[in-house]
Amino acid sequence: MLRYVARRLVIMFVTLFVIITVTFFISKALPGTPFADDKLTPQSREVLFAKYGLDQPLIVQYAKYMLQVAQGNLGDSFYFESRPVTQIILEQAPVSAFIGIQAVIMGLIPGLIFGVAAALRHNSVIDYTATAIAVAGISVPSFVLAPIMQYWIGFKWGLLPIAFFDSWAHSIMPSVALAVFVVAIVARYVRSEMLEVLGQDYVTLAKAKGLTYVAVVGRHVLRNSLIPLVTVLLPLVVGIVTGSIVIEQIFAIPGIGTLFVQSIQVNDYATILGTTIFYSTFFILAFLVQDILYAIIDPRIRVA
Amino acid sequence: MRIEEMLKSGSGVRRAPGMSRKEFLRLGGAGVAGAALLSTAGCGVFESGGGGGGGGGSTKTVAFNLEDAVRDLDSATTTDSVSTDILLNVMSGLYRLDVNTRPVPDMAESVDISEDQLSYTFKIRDGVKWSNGDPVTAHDFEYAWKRVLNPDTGAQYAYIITTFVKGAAEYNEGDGSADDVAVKATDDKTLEVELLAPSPFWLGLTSFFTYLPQNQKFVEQQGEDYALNKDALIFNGPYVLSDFKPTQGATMTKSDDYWNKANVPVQKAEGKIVKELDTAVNLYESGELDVQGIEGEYVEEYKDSPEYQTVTYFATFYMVGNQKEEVFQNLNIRKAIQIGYDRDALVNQILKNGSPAAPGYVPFGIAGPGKETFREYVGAVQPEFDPEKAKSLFQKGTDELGGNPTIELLAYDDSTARDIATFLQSQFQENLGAKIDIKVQPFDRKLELESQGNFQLSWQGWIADYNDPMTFMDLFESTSSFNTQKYSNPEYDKLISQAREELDQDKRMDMLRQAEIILVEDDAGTAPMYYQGQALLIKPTITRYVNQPYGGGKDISLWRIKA
Repeated sequence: MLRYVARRLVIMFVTLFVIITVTFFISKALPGTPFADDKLTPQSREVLFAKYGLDQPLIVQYAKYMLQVAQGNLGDSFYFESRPVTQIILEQAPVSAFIGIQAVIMGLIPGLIFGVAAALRHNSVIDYTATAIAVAGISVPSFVLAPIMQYWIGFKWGLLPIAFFDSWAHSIMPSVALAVFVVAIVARYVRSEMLEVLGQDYVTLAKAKGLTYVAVVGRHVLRNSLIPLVTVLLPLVVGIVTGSIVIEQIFAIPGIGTLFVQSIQVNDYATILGTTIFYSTFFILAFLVQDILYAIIDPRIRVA
Repeated sequence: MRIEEMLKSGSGVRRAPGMSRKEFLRLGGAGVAGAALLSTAGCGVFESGGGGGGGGGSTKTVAFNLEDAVRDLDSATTTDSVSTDILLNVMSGLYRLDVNTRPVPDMAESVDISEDQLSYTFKIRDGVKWSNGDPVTAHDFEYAWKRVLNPDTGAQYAYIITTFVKGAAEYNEGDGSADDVAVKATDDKTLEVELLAPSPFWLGLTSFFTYLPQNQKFVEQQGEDYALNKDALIFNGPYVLSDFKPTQGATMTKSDDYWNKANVPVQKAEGKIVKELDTAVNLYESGELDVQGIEGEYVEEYKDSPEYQTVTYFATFYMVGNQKEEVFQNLNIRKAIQIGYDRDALVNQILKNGSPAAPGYVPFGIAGPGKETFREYVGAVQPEFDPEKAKSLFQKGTDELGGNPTIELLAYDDSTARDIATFLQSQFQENLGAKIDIKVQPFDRKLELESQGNFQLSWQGWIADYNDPMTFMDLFESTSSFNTQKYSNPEYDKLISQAREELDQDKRMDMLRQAEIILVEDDAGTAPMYYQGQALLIKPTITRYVNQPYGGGKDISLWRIKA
């Protein structure tokens, strides 16, 4: 197992290296420049380019950047005049992560309950209700749900703060808006997987052996239903935890989702690269965790 | 400066067109009651946890929306209007603009201007100091201006000094030396400046952020970190920065050290960052924001409210036909363009943001002779919308050309610009019988095409760099690099260059008046469309709201508030 993890880590570094390289050259190929002011004299432009090392050949810039990144320095933002990208990410990522993790928890628990209940009471009112909720959760996008919640819960009824990120109460609506989708996805997958597993021979065997209902469902059915869930859930979790531009914009939350999109719009090369590295690392780590989780859930899957 | 970049805001989430906000919300309200229940059920215990920010309740605090991240608080290098809104309040220049946009002494106590209007001698006020206790001296100004000019600083706004101050351009371009820049602190209290040409409006420019002072000792001590956080800054303005996070906002608290603090009634100003207009309006309605700009359907909704106000910036959007193109060498066609579309419909139905239609090239409010504004002084120079006359002019023009060519209208990638382009296209097709193709380009590319002279019909925006018609008029000089439409009239050029040398303000204004008449009325060298405005919601507790129409922005020290 340890050797497996070590090998995966090496592959992870190679993948990251490729991602950084590709992103580096793509971002430089973006049309426009970070200093687009047309009153800028050629001299000042040269100075600015020199200041950020943009005057050198691309390959030199690339080498310098890679060296910097190897030392854990993601460079300085052009957009936020000279502010270190690492600092910006470290300030904003935790905000997104907090809201995201909370959303995952808020989504996972009801999702599991709905899914299990629907499967165990197949074709009953509970099943139909859970399915309806799942369909609604998937169909209503967060950019529709969030303004509606904000208008009614925040503004009309005054139950929760309308926007900003000043206290825990401020984080509830954004998390819920994100969680609805998680509820829907989880409920749907758990339900269909459970239904499939419930029909398997080993479940019948377990029942025949006289195991209690709880033991059959808990140890045999649920556990075996979770594998496909892990497959869909992890990328979803990573996506949510690394920030949603829609939710951040609507609730005026200083998270990292906005930063990523904005940096591309304004040709802020260092920030584009910095956030890309951040995302990629997260994703690659998530896949590693996913593979390890598989092994824990299903001993038949051997990591070798 | 070009205004389009300034106006670009964070691209928000857009609703489906054709549905008003209220309809949308009501519609959705029923459908997702489940989600609402879920949310309230899940957190009923903590429901009172809100209200972390906002100053709507308190009479001495105001909360307003910065609308975007604060990018750079170093006055030498900053460029964005969010940062300059803050700098204007926490820093003070030699002069400050008053409510009527006239310069009044701030850090300076007085100024002596020589007969030839070239030499300025400022006396620094007694007792003015930085927030670390250091006195504000003439040296702080000399240091700051030269820091802007130093080519190594890479200050994008250096031109606002190099255009006026002797020796500044040479130093900035790397040919001269700092010692040859005609800014000299002869002692702690005296600052001598020499200008290149008489510029009566220059005094007002000393309030501009690029001209703000900086404390050499502090700046050098902070080095790379200068202005990156609130502790890496010192202040000499009406407010100090008590809290600052680039993506969360800035809180400004009234300074105890400001010389004129008796005239600063607002104790605390909270600048929040809300990019989404719907969110901001909800916050305004709930009292968490005291001032909020609105547009589109919100203008329809609020325009009869007593809380609705508009401000007009010193900014013009104007159409130009490329005079290298045969079709726009024709005077009748240029004149037909001027009156061939409904300017009032453009501002009231398309823009809906408080912008007024333009009766001339120089916008409302720009200073004219004496107490008059230039617009009042000159009157309207562009004829009113007249579809019949426009049609006959266009007909005459195309007869002269020997055909009705398809005209390409250059537009840029922005929802407002697209709307304007579509509107103009349909108006010109309907009223003139013209064939118009719209060509949409990214904004940078549009600028590039223009500077290469590679366009037919286009429109541009310009905001005043200083309070004088010249900041607009010199764009149409034959030699101007901004004259991409290649308009050229020797008489116009002569009037502009004479006005530049003229010491008598009345004569000067008359020259500029004649020039504008030639440009717009006689030559139809441009078709001014509208002046950039902003529609605002302002809580009744704020009895006076000031947003300077150029340069600075929201000067909170000038706001008045109900006690």
